[in-house]
Order: sequence, then C-alpha cells, then structure tokens
Amino acid sequence: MKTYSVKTGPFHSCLSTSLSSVITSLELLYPGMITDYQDDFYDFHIKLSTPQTIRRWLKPQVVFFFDGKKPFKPLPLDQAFPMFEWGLNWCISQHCHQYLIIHAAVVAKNDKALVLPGQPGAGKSTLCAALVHSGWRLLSDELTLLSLSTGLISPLARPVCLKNESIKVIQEFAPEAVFGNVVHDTVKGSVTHVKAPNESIDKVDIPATPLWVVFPQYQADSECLLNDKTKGLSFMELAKLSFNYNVLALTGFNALSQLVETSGCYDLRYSRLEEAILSLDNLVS
Amino acid sequence: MFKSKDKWSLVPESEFSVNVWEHEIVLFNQLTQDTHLLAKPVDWILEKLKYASLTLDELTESAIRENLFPNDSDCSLAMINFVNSLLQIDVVEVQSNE
Repeated sequence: MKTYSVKTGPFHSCLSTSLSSVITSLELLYPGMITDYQDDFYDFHIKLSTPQTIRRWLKPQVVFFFDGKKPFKPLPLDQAFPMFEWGLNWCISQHCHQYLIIHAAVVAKNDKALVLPGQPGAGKSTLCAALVHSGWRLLSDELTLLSLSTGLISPLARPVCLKNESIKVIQEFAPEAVFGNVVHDTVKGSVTHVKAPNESIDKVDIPATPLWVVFPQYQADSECLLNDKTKGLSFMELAKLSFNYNVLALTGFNALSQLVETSGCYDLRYSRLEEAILSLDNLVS
Repeated sequence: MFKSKDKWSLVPESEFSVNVWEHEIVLFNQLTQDTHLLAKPVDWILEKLKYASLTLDELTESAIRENLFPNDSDCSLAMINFVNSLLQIDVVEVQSNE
C-alpha cells in the first residue's frame, strides 16, 4: 500500500491505497494535485482497500476508511474511484464548517462566480461540464464553498461527475475533454468523471465573488427560459440545499443572506446546452 | 377561536433575524433555529409586538392608521391570519385577557 498527498483547493488529503484503478484515475484526473506522501498537516486521512475476507476473491469490494473508521458500506471494487470522489465530498461537507457548503455547481468568469444549485437530476453537472468547456472556470461541480470569513467562493477544481445520458452528451459537446473510466451499475447508474480544464486547476487558489445564483432545470424539448426568481424563495431553496446551514445556525443565515442580497437570482429551464450557455453568457456580460 | 380581548406578544426570550425582500420576509428564529418564508406585513407585526402586547383590534387599527391595510371588512380577518401564522411557528403567543 502506498500513501499519497492529494491537494484539492483548500484541502489537503492523505490517501493510502494499493488499488491501481484509483491511482490511475488520480493521475489522469488530478494532474499536479497528487504527490507522494509528505510529512504535513492533512485535513482528511483516507484509505481505500479491499476487505481482508473471502471478499478479496469472491465479488471483490472496496472499503472507504476515514480516520480509521468506515462511514459507508463497501462497494464493488470497480467503483473504487467513484467511492473516493463521493467519500471526499462527504469528508468536506461533514467537517468543513468554516464554509457554508451548498449542493451546487459553481463556475466563474473574470473571478465572478455563478452558482448553479440543484437537486440530483436538475442538470447542474451537465451544464457545469459544458460551461467549463466553453470559457468558464470550474470552481466545483458539486460543493459550493462559501467562506464565512470573506463571503467569497473557494475553488476545488476537482473532476466533474457525469451520470448516464450526460456522459454521451458531454463526450459529443466537448470531445477534447479528458474522461475517466465509465463505471456501470452504481447507485447513481453509470458514472464517469471529467478532468477540470487546466486553466481551472491553475487558478484553484483564486477565490471568486458570487454575483449570480441560477437554479437550472433540464427539461426535454423545452425552449431556454431564464426568469427572475424572488430572493426569498431563492434563500429558502439554498438553505434546503446546504449541507451545514442548520449546523451554522445564525452564522449560516447571515452568510446566506449576504449571498442572496448581493446576487441576481434566476430560474433556468433548458434542453439544449448551447442555448443555456448563450443565455448565461448574456446574463453576465 | 381567538377573542378580541386576547393579548398577542412575542414568545419570551425570542430573538429574530429578518431579511425583507420586496413582499417576502425571511425570518430566522434564534430560539428555535428555524427559518421561515413569510409575507409582509409580518415584519411590521413583529416590530409592533416587540414593545407591547396588543389585541387583534389594536393591531388592526394600527395597521389601518399606517396604511398597511385598507379600512374594510377584510382587514380584521387578514390580521388574524397573519398572527395565527406566527403562532403556528412559535414566534408569537396569545394570552386570554378575560
């Protein structure tokens, strides 16, 4: 088993694993962010390994360890890299309360951030992947980190997770993108991860100022509609989509109030990526 | 049913943080840690009850005086609905004054 240091935005993870699929995926999707272990402070100590039971040979599985504990049930071995990604999301969302963490993709232009909150299936990751291959900077496809001390959004620039039909859609939309392996039969269906563009990785330490909150909703055959959304409704939906709003209590309320107060809030219904991107480009121009 | 002499007041020890955006009010109750989406003139009612316990009639008359409500037969019912919505979320309480 080998131990690596993985730097993703403001977080430093110590990862121990001997699983070749995880190491290969990390090298492909986290270029420049993974190094050999260094004696340093780590936010998260993660281990991915196979159980020391008959499961090593019969329907092999992978186990995710966080600080020596197993917060999740094992998954089939071929899901080891998705498990690392989901596990790291869990580590961040459950422990990093110096941020208000919202279940939202977030992209930026000229260091001005556009937050795309949404429940699974809303189409936020697909739209996020398309935007970051159309001139926008990727901050995160899943976790918006709103700093409680500055009100700015900290980038992660981790791979974008795509599911099912979205995989083909983005393969056709951005054939130059770097895709990881497609893993089938996960709890989310077929999944793959797309590497963050190099420019996004290069600027991972530069936070962005949130100026727009757009709630996307993919709807087949819909025309593209971008409508104002009231701030009160936007606030309530963002609070519901936050992982730690309740933990932060008044501090969370104040942070979210500032975000909503200083951002334009919109609903976006779309079916064609090109139209959605044009609409968002026009919004911020 | 509420009686006209019942006195309405804020729940003791309660503290609120409020955002007012056009007609919407987002209220954070620091006592219960709950967040609520409400409508105007809830912010006005909270401000009135901050300083005194008031009856529904007193609240309604004050709202008419300050042009929050038109002076018609619906304004009492509207005020009952607003204070009742605040009662349901433990922001105000009512004391019988008979």
